Amino acid sequence: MFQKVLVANRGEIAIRLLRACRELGLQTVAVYSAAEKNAPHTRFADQAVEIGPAAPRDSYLHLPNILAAARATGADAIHPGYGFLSENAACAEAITAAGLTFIGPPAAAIRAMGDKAQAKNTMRAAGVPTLPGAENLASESEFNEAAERIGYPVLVKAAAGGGGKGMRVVRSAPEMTPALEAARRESQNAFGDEHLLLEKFIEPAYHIEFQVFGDQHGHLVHLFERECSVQRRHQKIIEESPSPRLTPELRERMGAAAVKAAQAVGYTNAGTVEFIFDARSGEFYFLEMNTRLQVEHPITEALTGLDLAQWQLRAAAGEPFPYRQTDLTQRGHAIECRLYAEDAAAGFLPSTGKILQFHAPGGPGVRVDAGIETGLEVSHFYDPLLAKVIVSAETREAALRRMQAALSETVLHGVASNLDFLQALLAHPAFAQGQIHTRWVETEFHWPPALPPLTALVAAALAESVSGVPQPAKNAEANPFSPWKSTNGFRN
Amino acid sequence: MKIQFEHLTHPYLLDLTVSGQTATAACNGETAAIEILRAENGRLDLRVNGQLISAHISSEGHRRWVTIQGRTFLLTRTDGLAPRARPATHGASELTAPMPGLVRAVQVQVGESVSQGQTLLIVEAMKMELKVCAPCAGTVKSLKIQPGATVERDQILAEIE
Repeated sequence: MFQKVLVANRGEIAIRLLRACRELGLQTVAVYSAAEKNAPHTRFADQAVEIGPAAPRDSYLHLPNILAAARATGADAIHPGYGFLSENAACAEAITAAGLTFIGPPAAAIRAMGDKAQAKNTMRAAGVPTLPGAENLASESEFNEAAERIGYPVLVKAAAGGGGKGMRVVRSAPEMTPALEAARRESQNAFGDEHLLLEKFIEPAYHIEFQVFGDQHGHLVHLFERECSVQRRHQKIIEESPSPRLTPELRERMGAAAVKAAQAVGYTNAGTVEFIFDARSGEFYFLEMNTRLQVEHPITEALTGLDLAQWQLRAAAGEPFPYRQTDLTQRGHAIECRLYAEDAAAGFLPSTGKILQFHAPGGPGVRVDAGIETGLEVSHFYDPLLAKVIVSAETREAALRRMQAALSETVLHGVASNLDFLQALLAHPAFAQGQIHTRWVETEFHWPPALPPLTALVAAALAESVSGVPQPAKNAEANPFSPWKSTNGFRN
Repeated sequence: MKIQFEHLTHPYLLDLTVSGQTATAACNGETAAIEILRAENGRLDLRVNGQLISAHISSEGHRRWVTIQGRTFLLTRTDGLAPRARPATHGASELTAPMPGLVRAVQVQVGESVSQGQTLLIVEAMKMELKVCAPCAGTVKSLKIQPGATVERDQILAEIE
């Protein structure tokens, strides 16, 4: 086992990983950018090293500085967390070449899954279901023939694509011509390339992913699914497990496919195989594999009783994973809500500022992984994820009620968040019925922010007469009402 | 005492009378008898028309964050506040930052004529890029920022006339 782990990340995931290291008796090193000298994650480590300016490319993404920090502190392993360097094969190689342990899968597996087109071919060859599609089509008649073969609706997609640009849904043959023209034009403008490909369009689609875990001794299992269909702009908002959509039979088939997918690239450590699920046909298709620990890993931990972060460290140190597939079960139900710094009442635009009050919920079956605290400045440089609230209970109904109670205990002031939006989502009958597909939030959910009740106005008015109302320490703005502006430096 | 608030651009006029630990409040025809039970550390325990209610409050200039029964409201005190200052720019149209962030790119120059909807700048925050487009056709009268600048929400970025 290595002795000292450097966590090359920030926010809630850095804290989560530093805790895992500490529980295993490992020494820890945190890193931070110049903008995060006082960030909570820096205090969860034995040592903390500044690795550059605020912009991620100069700090959290800048491997030379991270390697220098590892050398300076004598760290012998690096955990990349998620995002930043976690899915960069060249970085994993450079870390290993520097004589350190990279806590994650082999670089070759990261690379094999990183190229999405190549990954799809690898999966197809391994017998993992992939979305029916067609490439290298030229004439319009070729597109029409391929569409007939795949079956409508189909998606015309820029081969060089990404970000939803150069994509058109075609529901019947007459729609093909205008769709090809529009997609070509968009693709040419966005990517300087007008090659298009065709893919089966699934609607409604559900996003169901499987956690996999492998040790370095050829043993690999899946740790069941996570239902992640509650999304907005392809960003997950709420995840749960088990999925309300899966039967035991489907779960077994998808789990086996996930294991096959991971084995096909020689995978070890924690990873996630994402599938698109077509509820109408009951078919599922490989989407991509995330070669890292996921944001939503806590719901799997809640259901299986395993500590995935600790197992990442143990497996990276060569320890065999002792559980066979048949040893593993899902117990109860778990839900995660992501608290984002985005203004749900103003088009979900990112929101920044100083956190004036933050109270996390508590009680049985409630876990909070937070990267924030009162007084912290939330900057525009980093991810909008502020905290995750995870609950587990005996049944889905009980877990839902527990989450609603937990969110109503949560207080977050100073930065606009999606807290009330999450509550509205959870309260919607479609959520209770487990009916939410990946485009539901954008196409069917209308959320009018609540109007303030009289009591809220009264509380706001009484703020003047209450002692110790949290406010920013700096008070640059002239405030004609503030009775405590000049005298009160209180912050809690 | 009359106190004026704004919530998502809607005005609210609160009539509040405080006397020791009790108060009466009225707004939009609704009234409440309030007892202030406890007030400390940003928390306010009230009895409103006989019902116990706990509120969390924070202040930030004119802004009041209130969480009550699991809902959070951001209210702005608008009494005594001058209407939002608008410099006299004689028909020039101001372009403001839709969100706080970093100016990634400035795609026009002063004096350039632009068409309605043309992308003038790109602002980035939290891994999200947002185009700032011309609200009308015209000429770029001034640019207030350079690429790489950090901007606040509603900060003026450029003027078009």
